[in-house]
Amino acid sequence: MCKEKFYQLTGENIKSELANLNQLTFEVTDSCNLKCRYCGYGELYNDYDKREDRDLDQESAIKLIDYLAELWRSKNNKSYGGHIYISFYGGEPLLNMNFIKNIVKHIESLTNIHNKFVFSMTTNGLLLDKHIDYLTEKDFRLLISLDGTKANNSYRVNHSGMNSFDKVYSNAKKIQEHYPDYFNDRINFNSVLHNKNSVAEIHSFFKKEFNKVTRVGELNTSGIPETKHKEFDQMYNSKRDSLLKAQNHKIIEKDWFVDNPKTDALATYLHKHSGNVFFSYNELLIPTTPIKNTDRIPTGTCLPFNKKMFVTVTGKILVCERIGHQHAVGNISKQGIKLDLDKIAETYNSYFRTLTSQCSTCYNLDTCKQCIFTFDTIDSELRCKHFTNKKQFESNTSLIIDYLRENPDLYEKIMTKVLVN
Amino acid sequence: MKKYWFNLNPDTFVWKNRSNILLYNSATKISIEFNYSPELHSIIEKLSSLSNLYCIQIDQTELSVSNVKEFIDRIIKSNSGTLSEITNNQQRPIQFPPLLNLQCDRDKLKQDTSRSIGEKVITYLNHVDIYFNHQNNINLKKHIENLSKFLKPIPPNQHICFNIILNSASSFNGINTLINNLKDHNSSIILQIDSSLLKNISDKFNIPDDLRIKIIHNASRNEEVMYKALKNTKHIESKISWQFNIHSESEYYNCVSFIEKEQLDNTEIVPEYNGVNLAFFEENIFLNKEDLANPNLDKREVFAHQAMNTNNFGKIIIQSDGNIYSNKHIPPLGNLQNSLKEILTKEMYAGTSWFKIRDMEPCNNCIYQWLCPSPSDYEIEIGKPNLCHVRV
Ligand code: SF4
Ligand code: SF4
Ligand code: SF4
Repeated sequence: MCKEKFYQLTGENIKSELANLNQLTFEVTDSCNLKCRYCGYGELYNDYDKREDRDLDQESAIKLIDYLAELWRSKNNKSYGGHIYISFYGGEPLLNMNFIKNIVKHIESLTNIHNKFVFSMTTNGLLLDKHIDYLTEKDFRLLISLDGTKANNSYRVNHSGMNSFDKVYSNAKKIQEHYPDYFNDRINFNSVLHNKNSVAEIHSFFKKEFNKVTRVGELNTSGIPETKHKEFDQMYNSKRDSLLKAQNHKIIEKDWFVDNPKTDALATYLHKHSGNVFFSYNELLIPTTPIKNTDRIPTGTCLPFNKKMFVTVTGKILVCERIGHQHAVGNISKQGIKLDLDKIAETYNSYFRTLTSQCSTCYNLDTCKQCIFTFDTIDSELRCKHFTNKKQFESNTSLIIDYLRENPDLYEKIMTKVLVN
Repeated sequence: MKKYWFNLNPDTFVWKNRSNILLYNSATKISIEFNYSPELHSIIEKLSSLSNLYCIQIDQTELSVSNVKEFIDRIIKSNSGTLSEITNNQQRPIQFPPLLNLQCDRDKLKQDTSRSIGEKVITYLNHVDIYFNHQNNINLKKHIENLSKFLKPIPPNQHICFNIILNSASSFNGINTLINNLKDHNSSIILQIDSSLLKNISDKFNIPDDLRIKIIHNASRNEEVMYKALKNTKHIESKISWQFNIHSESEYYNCVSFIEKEQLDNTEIVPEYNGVNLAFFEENIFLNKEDLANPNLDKREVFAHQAMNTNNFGKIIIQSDGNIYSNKHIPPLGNLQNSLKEILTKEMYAGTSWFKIRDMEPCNNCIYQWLCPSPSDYEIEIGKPNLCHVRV
C-alpha cells in the first residue's frame, strides 16, 4: 500500500449530494415530555446545545426546503421517483404538530420535482393517540422508542420520574388494533440497550407483544464529560456481550440478520472482498480499474449530505444527527440559508488530512466504518484506535470466515438480500 | 479411509443441464465440459449448493470411480479446484462461489419499499440514436427545440454517445444547431449518413472539429455509389469511418477488396438480415460450440450477461416523429413530451430491451446460457431466440 493522496472534496461534489439528498431531518423542538436518564441531550453528555424548550423556526425551515427544491429540480438530480425522506425529530416532535403540518403542506405544494417525498418521525409515543389519524393519513413511517417491558423501560421517565411504559404501550396497542396494516408496514420500535434490559428481554417482549423485531442501539459513547464516566460505564451494555448471554441467541441472530454486529461485519467483508458485489448496472457494464486512494476519501465518513441533512432546533445544519453540534456546517435563519459548499469541502479535506497517513496504510480502509466526527478532537495529534495492520486484518478476517463457516447459510442470504443504502 | 476436501476456485462457474456439465474459470478463461453421469450427480449437486461454499468432502471410495476421478483431475489440472487430504483440526477451506449481488438490481429495488427503481436513473444513459427524416424546415426547427429540451437533464459530466442518423438530404440544414446544443454535454457526436446522401455534404457545410462522420454503405448496391461516396468525402477523410452492411459472402469479399484497394481506415463490416439470407447467417454468424467454449469473459462480464442485455443497456432511440424506444422492434416508451428520466425509469421498471437476457427456451436449458452474448436484434429480425448450432 502506498501513501498516496486521497480524493480532495470540492463544493461541486457537495452540491451534487444535496441535489440527490435522501433525507432532510428537522429537530422540530427541543422540548420533551420525557426526561430519559441516558438522553443524548441530558446530564450524561456535553456536546450539544443547551435545551431551552425552543421550537424550530418555520419560516427558516421553509426557506431551506425552497433552497433544496431548486437543487432537486436541477440537472444534478439523477433520480426519478427516488425517495426523499422528510423526517421529524426532537425533543419530542409531536409537541410541535403545528410545524410538522405546515412543513408537510409546503412539501406537498412543491412542483416539478421528480422525487417522491416520504414522511417519517422518531417519537417517544406518549402523544400518539392524539395525532395518529393525521399520521396515518400522511402515511408517516414511525419509529417509536421503547426499551422493552416496564422494568426494562425504567430509564424512560417523565419529568416527575415516572416510567412512561404504560402510556406508550397502550398507544401502540391501540394503533395495532385500529390500524393493523399501517402498524405492520409503517411502525418500528427502537430500544436502547443498558443495564436495565438485555437483548434477550427486548427481543422476546416485542416478538410476543407486537410480533416485531426491534432495532437495538447502544448508548452513544462520545461527548461524555470526565465526571460522568463512572455513571456511564455502569449503565453501558454492549450489544455483542448481551447477545452472547442470551440463551436463544441463535434465534435472535437469525431475526436480527445484519443488525447482529457479527453478521454486519460479514456482510461488510463480503461486500468489499468477495468480488461478487456490484453497486450499479454501470459497474457491471463497464470495466473498472481497482479503486485508488486518489478516487476516495479516507476513513469511513460519508460524503457530506450523502446520508442526510439534519437541522437543529437552533437552525444549525449538520450532516447527520449522530454527530456533535460543534460540527455544524451552516445554518438557517429568517434571513436565509448559510451554506458555503466550498468551505465545507475544505473543512472536510483538512479534517481528513489529519488521518491521511494512518488511513493510507490501514488494512481496514476498504471496510472502515469510522466516522471522522466520532473522534473527540480532530487535530494533528489524532490517532485512530481502529487502525488495522496486516496481522490484525488477517486475524479479523479469519474470525469473520470462522463465523461464515459456522453459519454457511448466511452467504446466500447476504448476497441476495442485503442492500446497502 | 482417507478423506479429502474438494474445493472449487471462487472464479469458477458451474452450470449443468440434463446431459452436460460446464465449468468455466473466469480468471484463467478456460472451460471444461463433462457428460452428465449418475456418478457425478451427487458431487455436482453438492457443489451447486451455496451453503457448501464450494467445499465438499470426498472419500477414497468415491475417488476410485473413474468418472469422478477424471472429473476431479481435469478440474485440478485446469487450476479450477483443489483436493486436500483432511487432517485433524483442519478447518473446512470454504470459498465464495460466484453469486452476483447487484445492489441496484431492479427486482430488489422493486421489492424494497424504502427504495425506488428510478434512483440515479439518469446515470444509466450512455447512447442516444437520433433519427432525422424531415421534409420541411419548420418541422425540423421544432423537433430540434424539443430534442434539446428533452436531453437537458443529462448531467454535464456524464459521457453520452449521440448518434445522429440522417435519412433525408433536407435534414442537413438544421443539424448544426442540434450539434451545438449537444456539445454542452460531455459527449461524442457521430453523424451517421447513408452513402447515397453524401453528395449533399458540400464544402459549405461546416463540420465541427469534434464531429465524427460514419458512412453507412449497403453493399448490395452497385460499387459506383461507393466510389462516388469516396470522392465526395476526400476533403473530410480524417473524420470519417465506414460501415459496410453485407448480406452474402460475395458482398463480404467485395467489401474487403474495396477496403484494401482504397486503403480505408476505420471500417466495420456488419452482416444485415434481409429476410432471405438465413443460410448466410447460419453458415457465418451462428455460434457453434467452439466459439462458446472460449469466450474470453471475466467474472464481471459473465455476471453482466446474467443481469442485463449488454448490447442494449443504456441506449435509447429517438425517431424523427418524436417517439422514443429502447429498441426499434418494440413499442415506444413515450415521446419527447415525456421527461427523459421518466422514460428511462419506464425501461428500468418494465422494459424488455435493457433486460432481455437468455432466460427463455432453449437458452435457459443450455450450459452456455451465460457465456453466450446477450440477445441482439438479429434474433428478433430472424425470429429465432438462439442463433447457434448448439443442441440443447
Ligand atoms: S455518523 Fe458520520 S459517517 Fe455516519 S452518517 Fe453521520 S456523518 Fe455519516
Ligand atoms: S480504521 Fe481508522 S485508520 Fe483505519 S481507515 Fe478507518 S479511520 Fe483510517
Ligand atoms: S444461443 Fe442459447 S442455446 Fe445457443 S448457445 Fe447460446 S445460450 Fe445456448
